[in-house]
Formats: sequence, C-alpha cells, structure tokens
Amino acid sequence: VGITALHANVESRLRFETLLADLSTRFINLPAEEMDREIEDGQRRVCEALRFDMSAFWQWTDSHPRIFTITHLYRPGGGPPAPERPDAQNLFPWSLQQLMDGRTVPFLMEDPPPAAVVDQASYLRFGIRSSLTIPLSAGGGALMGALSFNARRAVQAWPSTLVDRLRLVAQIFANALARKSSDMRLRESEAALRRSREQFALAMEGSDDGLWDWEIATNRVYYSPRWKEMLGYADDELPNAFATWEDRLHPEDQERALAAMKSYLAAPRSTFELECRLRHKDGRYRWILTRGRASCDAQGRPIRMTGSNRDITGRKQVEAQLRKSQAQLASAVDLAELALYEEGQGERFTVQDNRIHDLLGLVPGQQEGIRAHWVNHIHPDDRDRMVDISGRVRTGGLDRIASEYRYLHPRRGPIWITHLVHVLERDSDGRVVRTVGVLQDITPRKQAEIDTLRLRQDLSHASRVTTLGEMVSAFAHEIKQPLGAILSNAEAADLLLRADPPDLAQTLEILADIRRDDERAGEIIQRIRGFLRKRDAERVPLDANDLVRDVVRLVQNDAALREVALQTELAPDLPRLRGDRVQLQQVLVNLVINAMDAMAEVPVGKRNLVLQTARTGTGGAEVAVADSGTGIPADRLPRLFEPFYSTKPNGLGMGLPISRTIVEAHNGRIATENNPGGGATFRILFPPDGGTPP
Amino acid sequence: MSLPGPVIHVVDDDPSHLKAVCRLLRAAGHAVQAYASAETFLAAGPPSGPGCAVLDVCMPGFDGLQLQEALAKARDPLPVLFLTGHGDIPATVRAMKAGAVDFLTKPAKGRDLLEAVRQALGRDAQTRRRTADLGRQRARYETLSRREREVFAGVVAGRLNKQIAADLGIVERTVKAHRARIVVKLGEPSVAGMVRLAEALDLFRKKPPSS
Repeated sequence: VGITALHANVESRLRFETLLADLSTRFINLPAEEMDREIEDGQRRVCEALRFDMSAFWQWTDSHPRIFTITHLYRPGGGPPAPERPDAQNLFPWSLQQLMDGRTVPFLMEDPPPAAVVDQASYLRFGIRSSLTIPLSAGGGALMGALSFNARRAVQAWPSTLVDRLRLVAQIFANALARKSSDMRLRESEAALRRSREQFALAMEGSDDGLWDWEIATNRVYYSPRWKEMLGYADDELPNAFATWEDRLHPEDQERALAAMKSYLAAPRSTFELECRLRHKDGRYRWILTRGRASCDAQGRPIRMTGSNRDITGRKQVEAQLRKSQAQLASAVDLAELALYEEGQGERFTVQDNRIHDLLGLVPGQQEGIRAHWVNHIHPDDRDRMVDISGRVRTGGLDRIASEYRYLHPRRGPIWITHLVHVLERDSDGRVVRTVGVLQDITPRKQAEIDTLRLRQDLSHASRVTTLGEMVSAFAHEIKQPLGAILSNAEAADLLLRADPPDLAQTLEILADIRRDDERAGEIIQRIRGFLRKRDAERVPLDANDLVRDVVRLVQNDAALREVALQTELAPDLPRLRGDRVQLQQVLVNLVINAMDAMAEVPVGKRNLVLQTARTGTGGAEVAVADSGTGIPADRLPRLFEPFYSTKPNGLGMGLPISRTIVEAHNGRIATENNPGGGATFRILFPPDGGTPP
Repeated sequence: MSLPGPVIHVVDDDPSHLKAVCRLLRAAGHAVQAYASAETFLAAGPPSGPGCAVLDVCMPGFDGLQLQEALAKARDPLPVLFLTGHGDIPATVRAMKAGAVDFLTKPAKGRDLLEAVRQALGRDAQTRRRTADLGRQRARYETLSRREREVFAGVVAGRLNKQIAADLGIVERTVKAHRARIVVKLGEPSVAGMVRLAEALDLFRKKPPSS
C-alpha cells in the first residue's frame, strides 16, 4: 500500500465523514416538524459534497398509500418540468420493483438494464444520464421511501465504495423517517384524546333550571324569571300562559311534544320528561329538557303540573361533537393500534375489542388470568421493575404511569410495548378501584432507535477518520519486511555458525544482506519523515480553535457511544499558527482516541474529556487533551513516544511517534503529564512565530 | 529407491525476506523451494510430494488467502501457514477457518517459525499415512470378484448367510465359500472389521462400489 496514494483521497473522505457524522447527529432527536427541512438540507449537502446534479426523495403518498412519489426534490440546475405528483409505478416501474425487493438500483444511460425500457424513457425525459436509487426501510422492514442521486451533465459511475457511503446517508434518512411516522401517529392519537376530554368537561358543567307551574283548569302557567331568561326574555316580556310555551316549540317538535304531554296527562305516573327545541328571542332554537310531575284530584284527574326546564343546547352540541370526536378517537386508536382497557376491582377487565388480546397474546375473549399472563410474559430483565410499578399503582402513591418494556409475545417473540395506566378511582383506604390503560406495540420505533445506535457504531469506527491509523499500518507493513529478513538472517547465521564445520562463506553473505536490509529500513523511515515534511508547502494559517471544533465534529459520535462527556474550553484571541490542517487534525484525533481508550475502565459518568486551547507562556498557541482515565504509570512515561511501544493489546505503537514527528515538523512539541486529580493531559505547544519551517 | 523427503514451499513477494526465510529453513535442515509470487507457485504445478507451504498474505495479484483456497482444491492439499507483515484480525480469522496451521507476524522468531513448520509437516505426514492406508484397503477390496462383492455387501448389511443365499439365488454353502475367500483377500476376519472397511471406503452409501 503506497503511503502517498493513500493520502490522495483522504481529504475528500474526511469531508464526507464529517458530513455523515453531522447529518447523523442532526437527525437524532429532531422534532418531526423539522424533518422535511433537514431532509432537503441533507440532500443539498450530499449533492454538493459529491458533485451530483440532483437528488430526489420518494415516499408513499399520504392520501394514496399505493402511490410512490417525490416529496423532496433538490435540483439547483433546474431541468425539464417534473410532473406535480410523479407516480413511480408509471415512470419507473422496473426501479420500483427492485426497490420493493430491497435492492439498491444503479442506472447508467450507457448501459441500461434490458427490462427497464420505461424507466429509461423517463430518465431520458428528465435529462438524467446516471442515477443511483437506494431503498429506505427501518430494520429491514417494508419499503418506506427511496433516495436517489442523479447526474445530468457527466456520466457518474457507481463504484461500491461510493454506493456504501450513500447507503449510510440513506440509512440516516430511513431511521429519521421511521421515527417521524411513529411520532406523528402518537401525536394524532394524543390530540384526539385531549379534544374529547375537553368536551366531556364542558358537558359536565351544570346550569340552573327554570321553573314552571301549570294550572290545568285555567291554563295559566307560572314561568320563573330564569325560565324566561333561558329564552332571552325579561320577566315582564312573556305572558304567563300555556301558549307561551306551545308557540315557541320548534315546528318539527311541536306534534311530538304535545302528544307526549297528552299521553302523560292521560295516565300520570312518575315523571314527565321531554327534550325539545324552543325558540329564543334571537330567533334561534335552544334545546330544552323539560321535567315535570302532575298532581291529581281524588278521582285521579290531573289538576296541575309543575316542573323545571334546563337548557341542554350545549350538551346536545357536545353530544354531536362527542360522537364525531369519538369516531375520530376510534380511528386514531385504530391508526396508532392502541389497545385500551379498563380494570375494575378483582381484576375485572373491560375491553372494547380484541386488540389487547392480540397484543398480549391472550386467547381471544379471555377474561380470567389476564394479569398473571401479562406478568409471566414480561421480559425477565424488565419484570421486577414493572411488578414494582404496578404494585405502587395499586396500593397508592402512583396515579399515572407510562413505561416502556420488553414483552415475550407467545407467538411473535420479543416485542416492545409502551404502557400507560391512569387511576380513575380509589377507595377510602387508597386502594385502586378502577384504572384505565393504553398499550401500544412500539417495536418498529424501538427497532429504528436500535438501528440508529448501530448506525452510530458504524459511523464511529475511529479508523475511518484517522489516516494516521492507516499510515501507521502501511508503514508498519513496509518496515516489517526488512526487520523480518534481518531476524531470519541472523538466526540462520546463528545455526550456520554452530554447524560443524561452520559455514563461513554463507555467513558472510548473510551479513551483507543484513546490512542491506538495515539500510532499507532506514530508507523507509526517511521516506515517512520526508513525506511528512514534504507537505510543508501546504502550510496555511490556522486557528487552533477551528482545529479543535473540526476534531470535535469528527469524534462526537464516538464520544457519545462510549459515554464520554466531551467538553471544550476555547481561549479567545489566540495567535494563529501555520500548518497542515489535515495532519494536525490527525494528531488531535489520535490523542482524543487514546484518551477515550484510557477511560474505558472508568465508570460511566466519570468519563470526562476536555479539549482546551490557551496562549503559551512564550506567546504561542497550545492545544491540550485532558482525560479522566487511569493516567500513565511513571515508568512508562519516558518510553511513550518510542516506536513499536504500545500499552494497548492491539496497538502498533506507532501513533504517538508519528504524532510527535508531525508536531516537531511544525516546530512544536508534545508534552505529557498526569493530572493531580487522575487521568493524563497531552499538550501540543506551538512556537510564537506560528511554526515557520526549519 | 528412497521416497522424496518433505519440501517447504515459501511464497513471498519481498525478495530479501524470501531469501532470509529460505536460508533459515535450510540451515535448520529442511528442503526448501522459493517462489516470488503466488502465480509462479501455481505455474510450477501442484507439488506431489510431502511438505507444507509458508505464505505471505499481502502480495500483489493473487494474495496469500486466495492461494490457500487454490491449494485446498488439490487432491492432497499441503498444510498452509502464514507469515505476514500485517496480521489484521479478519484475515487471520479467514485463514484459520480455511484450515491454516498457524498465522505468524513478521518479524517472526526463528523458534516460532521452525515449530510451526514442524507441526505443519507432522500434520501432512499424518494425512498422507491415512490416505495411503485407504489406498491399500481399496486395492484389496478391488481384488474381489463381482459375486464376492455382492456377498460382502450382504455381510456388512448384517444379513445372515441363509438370507444372503436367498437374496442371490445361490445355496448357503456357496455363500460360506465366498466368505472364506473374502476374509483371505481382505485380510480381515471379523464382521466388525469389514463394516469399518466399508465405511472407510465409503462403499454402499453415496455411490455404488466401483467395478
């Protein structure tokens, strides 16, 4: 592996890795509303970084779940007008089938697949000469969308290294999409629940009643002021006559109301009750609930009737709305696949459908032993926690819980459940009488979270951002050839000299070869040094703080994954230094990764890494990497920068020596010390003149 | 005439390292054949005699792991050990899974290399002995006549003389006579021994006995 060739594409790769780490960090915990903007921004940044002409983001249409269409199009150069809602089934049927089968689809106009005639025509129409489309799915699930990158001017080939990078980008988008859809569903159902709760509260508000007293013989009726007020009148505005009521009945209700009254009076028993509309002073009708009771003479004939009126217009409206919102709620519950139940005393479960039975793997319609079944199937690692919470709900203290736990479904295997319990009623001893609960299967969302974590692990391979690592191993490989030869030759000479008679002629040959290999090893070392110095010409003015910020972006994923708290303390107004940005970045990345390795044994919460900049006593810039790890044993300090000296099980022992060579080539030096409170600090000190080459 | 001794085939694209390793192995008393690339090794044709191969992993063109794969296809594959500048874990795992005897990194100590070579040669000798035994047994089996093979098949299938006679439409006395000749020809008096032989030669299971 040639070291120079290795360095050739390093800068573009680092740029891409930074972009990838950036995108991944940005999409984690992004609110759903901001997702669309970030997707477009991501498309733009990838296109700019890799010089694509356009990028399309495809998704299933919300209103037509069978139509796959473009939702985000990045096309700065313009082009032939795209249809409003392009349908992949019509325009790119072959590609769509490939995507549905989970395949990434490369397309080159020069070499189109024979089965892709329609697709080819569409690409021609939109002036695309080369395209790569990647399916988006979370955890290998159903196709959620697709991300394509296209070239219009030049032919873009799709080597596997490029495809692999773009797949990582696509994976970030796919995870974001999966989270967005599950967030949205959850929010819709929450909103529907809230609406219906408010309306219930409204309905419960009491209103005072208006009273009436009717003397049947005279047909005189006393109406209380409140009765009249209900219809918008002052006390003196309405005559106390039966007709006052009768005339104000809604034409549609009139017949029914009078008939009800007549039939009650014919055989007055218990209470009269009627719901009807009465005309308000403003001309609109109000819904009124009338209740009354007749008193009779000795013969049982009704002589008078008294009662109350209640305005139930609000309730009627609420009822209508409630019916509507209940329907909405039901569909939200359906959409979010929520399983609802009510639990009464003695483990009596009330459910509306069999969804909870499906979710918990019960026998359809099962009534008994639900709680025991549930407890038995909770994942053993989560069971104690859930039993404890459940106990606290039952015996007081906790009125509302929301938990997520793993559940071993008898048929489907392990799933993730989110479970809300709300206590409705307790008895005087504080024991639970009634609770309602909601369960939801959140396995897909959890899967997406796990995928995101795994993705971050993929992204975090430190080796991908350290060319130093690669340089080190390339260098180690080269230098080991002469070293190996020298060792084998020396041992062969040893055997030949012990032989009887000793083979002196061959031993002399061997000594000559050993000398030659020693020179070769020296040349390799010179070449590395020369390579590091050769880049002197590329020195540019640098700000140490920018350098630290670049490094933080490269390692933030790694730090999050290793649960290391990464902190920067940047001094303002630092003197500039001159140097090779990539080389110095590599030195810092190497120091940071060493520091994180040193904290692997330290408990989580005590892993602190500080990147610090400061002005040195002599007026130069200083960058320090301080960790809270195990520190460096005193006897190892002097050997730290020796080649092939490593304290790591798989270390090559070349990182620090090369780092030192780079820093010294910048006229700087590296200092090491143990911190008084534990851990170690590595300082890179640059001279005040900004590191003029020697 | 003496059989040829084991030969160690060393493949390394670094000429200086190749020379040094060959020198060390020769000084330790081994017969050595050096190759500057996997291609020259393959071009020389499959080595017929006993021995082992010492391969570098990273070589331009055909690399050590590919060469290992190619060697494994031979009738009597040579045991392989690797000697490499940069032993990364995936390559090591792949090599060991494919049956490598050892995976040494440069610079390797002479003692380690010679020990690994000793083990490889031991393994090769064992394989060859087993192959030779099998060849002898097959040769003996092939001296049986067609009828004797039929009787042999009946015996190892656990059938009684009477049943074999009925199967073949001959009298029991003839079966006994065949059995006596089979015992002499195979040098194997026990039924258990015959069953073992049939298994070792893989008769009657995957393919019919060769005629």
